[in-house]
Amino acid sequence: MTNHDAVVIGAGAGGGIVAKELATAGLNVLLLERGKAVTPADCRKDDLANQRTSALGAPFGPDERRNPRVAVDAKGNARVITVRDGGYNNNAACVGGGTQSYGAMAWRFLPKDFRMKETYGVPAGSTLEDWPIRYEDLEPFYEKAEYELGVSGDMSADPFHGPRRKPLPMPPLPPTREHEILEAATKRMGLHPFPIPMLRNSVPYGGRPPCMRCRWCVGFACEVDAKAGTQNTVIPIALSTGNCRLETQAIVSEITTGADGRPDGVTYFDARDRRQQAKASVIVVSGGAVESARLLLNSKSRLFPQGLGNHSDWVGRNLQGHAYSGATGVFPVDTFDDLGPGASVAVCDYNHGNPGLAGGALLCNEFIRLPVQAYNDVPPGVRSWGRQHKQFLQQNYRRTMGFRGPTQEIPVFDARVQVDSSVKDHWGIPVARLSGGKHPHTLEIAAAMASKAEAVLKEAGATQTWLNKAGPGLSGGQHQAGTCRMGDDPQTSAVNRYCQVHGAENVFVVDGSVHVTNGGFNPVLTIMAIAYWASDFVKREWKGTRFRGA
Amino acid sequence: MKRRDWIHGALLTGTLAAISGCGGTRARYRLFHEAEAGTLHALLQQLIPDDEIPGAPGANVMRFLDRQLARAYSGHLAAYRKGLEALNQSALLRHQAPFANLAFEQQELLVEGLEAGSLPPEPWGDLSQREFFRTVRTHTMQGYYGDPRHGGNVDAVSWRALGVPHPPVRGRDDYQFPKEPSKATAAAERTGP
Repeated sequence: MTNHDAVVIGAGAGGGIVAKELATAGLNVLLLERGKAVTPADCRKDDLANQRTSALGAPFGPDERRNPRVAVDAKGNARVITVRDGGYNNNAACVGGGTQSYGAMAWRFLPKDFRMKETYGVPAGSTLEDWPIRYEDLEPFYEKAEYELGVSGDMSADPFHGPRRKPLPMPPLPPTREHEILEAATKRMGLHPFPIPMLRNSVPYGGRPPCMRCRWCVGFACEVDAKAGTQNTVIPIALSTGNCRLETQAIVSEITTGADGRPDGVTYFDARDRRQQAKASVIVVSGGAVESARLLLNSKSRLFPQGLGNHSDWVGRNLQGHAYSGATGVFPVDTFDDLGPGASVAVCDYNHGNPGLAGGALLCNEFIRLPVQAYNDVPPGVRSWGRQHKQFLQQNYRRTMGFRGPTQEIPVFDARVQVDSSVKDHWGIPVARLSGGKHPHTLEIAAAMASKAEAVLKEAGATQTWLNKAGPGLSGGQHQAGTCRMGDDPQTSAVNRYCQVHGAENVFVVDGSVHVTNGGFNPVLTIMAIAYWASDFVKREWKGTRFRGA
Repeated sequence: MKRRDWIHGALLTGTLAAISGCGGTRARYRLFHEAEAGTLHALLQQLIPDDEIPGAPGANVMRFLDRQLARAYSGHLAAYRKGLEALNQSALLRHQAPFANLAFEQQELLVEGLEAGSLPPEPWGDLSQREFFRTVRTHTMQGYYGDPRHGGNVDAVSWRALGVPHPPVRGRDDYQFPKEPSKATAAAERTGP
């Protein structure tokens, strides 16, 4: 058994930052990560075995033989699935978590994204709610994430973003061919194109080199470490303090409680499957929206018989990712210039203010689509196999461009994570059981976003376009969020505004789980900002040797 | 070697592999017996045909499947065996000849029926025709458009046909690749269990 001031469960976007903030403040931190450490040499450029396309494996975890989940379909049929199944809603399990292999878009949510109920009212059958905090609360912490990890971009051409005190610390990468075509087209339409902000070096920053603009980006570890993840920024800082110990391949099974019923640490299985105990004054759960909910639900005790923080049945509820929708177009000229990362230009004109719709999405061009990611995206009328399919791809692969975005989801109470006590993982821990689907209005918004994207492609000169609309199924995946909602009322939320679990004030959830709504944006920078925000609270409440009240 | 000769050679090799097992006593594939291989080879020719440019047969997607069905796709092997046998039975029912021996157009109609799930159900039992089609199509596309290291897409033939530079051009010239592990990894190894 070991003793610590704080134990942080999960070394991803949220946990990595909390570990660094607490360790540099002098707390003794144990950072537990269920996956392994990954290096730039693990890029491997394998288009069939990466975190984006995992047909032959998900090298950055979790281990598919040891970590089943249960997925329940729309008819109520449950089946056991592995990491490579889309229904698994995998993110990653490694040091850095999703930030090791993400595409690295670095969006701040808009002020209205925190006030969705106030802005739109509550669609029937939804749990749409306002956040207990506002954009202004997070602004300094967004800025801190942008500067500590490093974000490139230029927000000056985007009139929609919230107030910001400083510009981004790095300029954007030079434009690609797609960028030039789409920027001109969206300007002709009266829209406001600008370069996508990225947690990606465009110039040397933080001791790491700039992006070399290869095509092995989203889904892969960056071969030159130009993408900023927690693994190459804040976690090394945490370790360099001497106050933080990182233990990899550590599977936390339960948050334990002391004789007084209060949470006092964790039990976990180490890399050799030996059961270990760690006691801590502060416990931070940062496993991602699926695994964090699972851990709380698996942590049953006398005071929390339904799982930690689950007295009003809100843990695991409102699972949401994004309803990705957009369009694809074929152009008369080559649009492919093989200049990574591909995704480059965005508009935020459609995030809000769409008549009759409660939200919207940013729209942008795509990361470079590797050939194996392109074969399913052919227009209606082209058969999905045979000579016609083969020739369509050969004629059009270099002339095809996508424009799409993450439609903000309308939360649904029954889109949820439960634990399935009949299915156990390698360590005997009940696995996550995923069920539910998207709200019908989410699909309406997504369909509208697809049409907006199609109009942009047509204006840009596409000779043929077709829509890519989100399906009705559950979405979580790499953008998973919502399962431990932040709120002032313990009856309708799992944690308070500082990410403290209601009724267990020394336990924090710091990841996408706390998002009340998930923005029409990739959520990672918001996860990071909330991690700085919650860490700031913990540091203020830390009384030298213990957490207040603990 | 001229390109046409190369393609011809590839086609010939594939055909021989499929129909005769002429390699002598050693089986050409680890998982498929000759009849299964013949049916699968003909199915691949339907999904991504060899023409001026090698398709799934010419790009050796057979080898990809033979390899991956023993590894990542192993959960599908039983369905492959059952589905290939059922497809052959469907051909025998309709044309009194094995699938591999039918004319291209006859095979195509059968595959269209398979995709729609509309072939006579008897040989298929509880195996869904549509699901079998989807699985084989997905695996075939992955083998053909995926990285050659996995056994298919020989000589990156599909990538070159799409116009994707191979090996990649971008990002190769300006960088020395790091030989040392990153700071995070080194630190993790120092402090790990």
